[in-house]
Amino acid sequence: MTGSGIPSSTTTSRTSAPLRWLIWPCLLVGSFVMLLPLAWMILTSLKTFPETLADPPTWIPAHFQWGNYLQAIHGFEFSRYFANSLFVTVGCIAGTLVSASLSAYALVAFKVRGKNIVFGLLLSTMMLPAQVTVIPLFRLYVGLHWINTFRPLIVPSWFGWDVFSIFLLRQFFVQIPRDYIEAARIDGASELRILLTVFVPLAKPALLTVAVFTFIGTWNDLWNPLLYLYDEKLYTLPLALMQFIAVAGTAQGTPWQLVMAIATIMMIPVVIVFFLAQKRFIEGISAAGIKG
Amino acid sequence: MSQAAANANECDSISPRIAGRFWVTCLCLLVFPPAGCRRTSAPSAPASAAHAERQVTLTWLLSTEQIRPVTEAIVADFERANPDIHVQLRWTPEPQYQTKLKTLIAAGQPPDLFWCGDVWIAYLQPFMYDLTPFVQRDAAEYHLNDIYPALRRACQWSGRWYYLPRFFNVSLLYYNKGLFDAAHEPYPTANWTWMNYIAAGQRLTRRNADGAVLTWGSTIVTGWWGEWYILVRQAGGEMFNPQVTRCELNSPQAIAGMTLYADKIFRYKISPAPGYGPGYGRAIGFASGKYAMEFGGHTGNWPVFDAIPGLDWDIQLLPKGPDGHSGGEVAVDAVGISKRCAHPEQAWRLLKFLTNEASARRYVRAGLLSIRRSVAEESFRHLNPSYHPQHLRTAYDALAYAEPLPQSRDFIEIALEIIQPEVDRILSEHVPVPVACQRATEAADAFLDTISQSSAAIGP
Amino acid sequence: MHSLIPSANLPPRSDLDLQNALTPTPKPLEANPLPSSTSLSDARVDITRPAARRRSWFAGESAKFWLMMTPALIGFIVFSAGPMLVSLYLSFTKYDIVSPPKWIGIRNYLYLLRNDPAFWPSVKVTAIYASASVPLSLTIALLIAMLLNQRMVARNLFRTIFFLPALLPAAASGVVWVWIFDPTRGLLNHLLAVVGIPGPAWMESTTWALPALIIMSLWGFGRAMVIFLAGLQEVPQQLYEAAELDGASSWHRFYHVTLPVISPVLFFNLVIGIIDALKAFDLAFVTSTTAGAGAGGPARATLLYTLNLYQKAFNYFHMGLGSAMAWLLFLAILLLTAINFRLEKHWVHTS
Repeated sequence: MTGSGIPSSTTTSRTSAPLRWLIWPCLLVGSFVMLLPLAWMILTSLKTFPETLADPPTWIPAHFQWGNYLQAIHGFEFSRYFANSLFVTVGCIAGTLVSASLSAYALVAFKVRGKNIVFGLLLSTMMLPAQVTVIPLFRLYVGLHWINTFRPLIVPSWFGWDVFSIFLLRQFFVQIPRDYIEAARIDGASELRILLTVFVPLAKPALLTVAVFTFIGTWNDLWNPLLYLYDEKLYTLPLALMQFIAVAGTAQGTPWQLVMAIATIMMIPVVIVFFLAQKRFIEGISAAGIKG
Repeated sequence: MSQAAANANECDSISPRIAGRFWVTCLCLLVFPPAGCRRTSAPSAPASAAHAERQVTLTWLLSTEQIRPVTEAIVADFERANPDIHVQLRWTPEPQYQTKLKTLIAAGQPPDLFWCGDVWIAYLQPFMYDLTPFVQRDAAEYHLNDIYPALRRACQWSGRWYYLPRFFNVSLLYYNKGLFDAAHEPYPTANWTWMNYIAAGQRLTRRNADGAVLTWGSTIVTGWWGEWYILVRQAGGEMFNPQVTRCELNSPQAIAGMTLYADKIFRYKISPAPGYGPGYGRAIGFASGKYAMEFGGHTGNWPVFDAIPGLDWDIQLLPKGPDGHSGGEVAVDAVGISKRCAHPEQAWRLLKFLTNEASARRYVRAGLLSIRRSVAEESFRHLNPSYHPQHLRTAYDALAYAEPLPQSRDFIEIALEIIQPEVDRILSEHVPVPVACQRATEAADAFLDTISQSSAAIGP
Repeated sequence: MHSLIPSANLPPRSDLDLQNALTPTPKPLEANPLPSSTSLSDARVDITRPAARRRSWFAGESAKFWLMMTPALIGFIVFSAGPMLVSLYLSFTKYDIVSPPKWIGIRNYLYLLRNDPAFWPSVKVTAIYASASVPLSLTIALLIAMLLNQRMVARNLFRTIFFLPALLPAAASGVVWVWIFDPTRGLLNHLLAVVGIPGPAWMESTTWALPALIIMSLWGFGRAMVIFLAGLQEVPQQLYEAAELDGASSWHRFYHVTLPVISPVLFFNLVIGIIDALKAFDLAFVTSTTAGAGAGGPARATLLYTLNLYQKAFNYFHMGLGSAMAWLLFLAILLLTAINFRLEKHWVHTS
C-alpha cells in the first residue's frame, strides 16, 4: 500500500551534498533575523526606564535589571491570572480538538448531499471581520447571562467555533485513504471508533498543530476577555498585563522594561509547549508508523 | 501492510477507555460548567440583608490610569460618607476603552458613570444624562464658581452640562533648562512670539562636523491636529466656520499657520522630519533630553519627565502668533452619567464628590492639575525648590488663553480622516502648503455637503 | 500482513458507540459477526457482501453525518449565523450605537462606493498588502519547512526559533518593529547603510510604509511553516527513494513527489492566508499608532480595509457603515475562496 500518502517510518528527506552546505548559512542568518525581535524584547526587559528612552538606543543594558521581573510579578497577582489563563486555554484546546475533529471527520468520511454547503457555511464565518459581530455577540451573551464568566471564552470552542481548525483537520483527514474507512465499517466499527482509532493516530501531527495554535491564540487573546470580563479576579494574563501597563505609566510614558518583562514571562509557557509539541510531531508519526 | 492498520490495531484495545473518559468529560463540562465559569456575584459590602437591599450599586467604567490608587482612595472615602451607595469600579485598558464602552452601550448594559473627554462628548451626548438641573440646584453648595471658567466652558455642550472634570491638560511651551544654559540662551518669556521661538530654536539646534543634529530646537507633533491646529488658530485662522458647515483651512491665515508648521522642519530646520527625531515612535521626544523645547506637550507626561535623571525642565505660555494670542488647547478628563442610569441622584452625588476640593487636593498631590482655583492657589504655597515645573502657576494662567475645540460631532472624523492625510503629504511628500490646504478644504467640504443631506448614510 | 481491525479485538457493543446507538442503522457486527481471520485485503476484495447491507450503511450515512456535525451546526447557528445576520441587517441601517438603528436601504453601500474618501484608498492598500504578503510568506514558509525537514543537528531548536515571532504578543512586537524600521537609528537602515543604500523613512514615508508593513507580516510565516511541516510528515520516504533511484533531480522530486502530497495543506495555507491578509488589522493598528503617524497613516498609506472599518464603526459611531464595509469584504473573500475551491480539483491531490 505504499504510495498513497501514508506516513512512513522516517519522514525526513535527503538532499544532495552542495545543497546541504547551503542550508547552514541560510538557517543561521534566518535564525538571527528571527531572533532579533525576541532579543530586543528580553534585553529591553532588563533595562532601567531611562535606558528604554535612550538615544541612540542601546542593545545591552549597563546593568541587568533582574529586579524588573520581580517588580512585574509582584505588580499583580500573577498566579491567579496565570491560573485563569490556563483554565481558559485548556478548556478551549479540549473543546476545539473534540468539536473540530468530529466535524472534520464528518466532512471527510461521508458522501452526503449538502456536505459542501455545510462546509461552505462554516468557512464563511471566517470571512466576515469580527469587528462587526462584536455587538450582536455581546447581546447574545448578555441574554444567556454569560457576561463576567469564562463561558463566552470557552463554550463556543466546544461547538465548532474554530473553523480554522476544522478546515485544517479536514485537509489532513482527506489524505487518509478512504479504503480504511470502508474496511473498518465493513468490520463493523462505529464511526466514532474509526475516528478515534484510525484518523486520530494518523493525523496526530495535525491535531498537535491545532492544539498548539489554539493554545497560542487563546493564551495571547486580549479582546475577548476584555469584552466579557469585568471582575478583576477573572482576568487572564494579557488583560492583566494591559491593566498593569496602564497603571504603571501613561499612554505616552509606557514603562517598556516592565511591559517586556511581562511579555517575556507570558511567552515562556507558549515556547515550552511549542518546543515539546513539535518534537512530538515526529514521535507521533514514528509511533503511528510502526511497520506491520 | 500499512502502518495505519497496525496502528488501528494497537490502539483498539485502549481507545474505548480513553474515548469514554473523553466523552464523559465533555458532557460534564457542558452540563456542569467549572466553578470558574459561574457567574460571580458583584462584590458588595457584607452588611445586613436589609442594608444590602437599601444599598444602591453604581458601576463606573473608567480607563486604567496611573493614578488608579488615588481614584480608589477617593471612592473609598465616598462610600464611607455614603453608606447607602456602593461603587463598582470597572477598569479598562486605555486603548480598548472606547470599544468596550460602545459595546456596553449598544448591548443595553451601559455603566452608570463613564469617562468622557471633551472630544468624545460630541458622539456620546445623546447618551448622556443632562446634568444642568443638578448643577443649577447645587451650584452654591458645590462651589461651582471655584472651578476655572475655561474648564466650566469645556464641560458644556450647547449650553447644557453633561459631565464634570477631575483634572485637565493644557498646551504649554516646555523647555529644557540644561540645553538653554549650555547655549547661554535666556529662558522663554510670556511675551515670546513665533519669531523668538524660531530664532531661539535655530540657535539651540546644534550639529556635529558632519552636519548630523545633536540637539534640536523644538519637537513637532505629527500624525494628528495637536500642533498644526494651534498654529492655524494663532495665525488667526480656523479649521471651520462657527456653524461647522464649511472648512476654512484655505484662508490666508490658516495657510500662514500651516506654513510655520512645515517651515519648522524644512525652512528653519529646528524640528526633525517625521521619524528622524530622537526618541523613537511615540516615546516622548522631550524626555530624551535632545530637544530644547516642546510645543504643546501634555501635563500627563510630567511624571515621565521627572523619572529621567538630570532632566531639568520648566514651562512657559506658548509663543504668540501673528494674531497676537498664544492660544492652545484645553482638554478635560471628565466623568458623565449615562442617560439610562437608574439612580441619577446617587450618581450625581458621586460626581460632586469626585470633583470637590478634597478630591482635587488628592489629585494635585498625585502631580495632576486642579480644576479648582482655591486648591491650585494652595498648591503654589507648597511648591518646593526641587519641584518641576517651578512655574506651576503658568499652567493655570494658560487656561485663560486656551480655546475649546469646535463643538461638532464630525470635527474629529474630518480632522483626522480627511484633513490629516493632506497634512501628512506636506511633510512626507513635500506637497506645497497652499495646495495641501486647498485639497484638504475641498475634501472636507465635500464631506460636509454629503452629511448635510438628510438622506445621507452618515451625519446626524 | 496483519489484519486492519481484527474483529476479535472489537468490544461487542461498547457504551460509547454513540453513532450506532443513536442511528437506526442495523448493526452488521451483531447481525453477522465477522470471522476473526478477516483481514484488510480480504475485506477490501470482499464485494460479495449482500448488497442490501451496503445500501443500509449508506442510508445511515446522512444521519451519521448530521449527528456528527451537530455541535458545529449548533455553534454555527447560535454563535455565528445569528450575529452575522444582525450585522447584515445593520448594514442597511444608519446606526450610531447610542440611538436605535434606522433603515436606509442600500445607502451605506452607495456612500462607500461613491462618496467615502477613505474607502477606495483602503481597498488599494489591502489589495497590495495581500498580493505581496501571501505569496511571499507562503514561499518562505514552504522553503524553511523543507529545510527544517532535513535530518540535521538542532532541528527542533531551529523549528522553534523560526516559529518564535508568531508567538510574540502584538503589544511587544509592535514596539520592536517601530524600532527596527526607525529611519536613523533603526537596525534595518544600518544594515542597508553597510551595503551602501540610504534607507527610506519607512513607517513615516507614504511610499515605504506599506512595504514596511508587508516585510513585518513576513515574520509571521511561522504558522504556515508549522502546517507545512506537519504536511511534510506525510511524504513517504519510499517515494523519494524510488525517485532517487530513477535519477530524478531535486526539482523533479519536489514537483512530482512532495508537492502532490502536501497540496492539501498548501491549499489550506493559501485559502487561510488570503482570508487573513484581507482581514489584517492588528499589525497595522499597533505599528501605525506606536510610530508617529496616526492609525493608517501617513496619508492613508497603511490604512488597511479592516482598520478603516474599525475606525468608522467604533471611533466615529458609524456602525451601519462599518457593517456594510464588512459585508463588502465578506463578498470579496467569498468570491476569492470560491475561485480557490473551484481551482482546487485541478491541482490538489486527495486520496
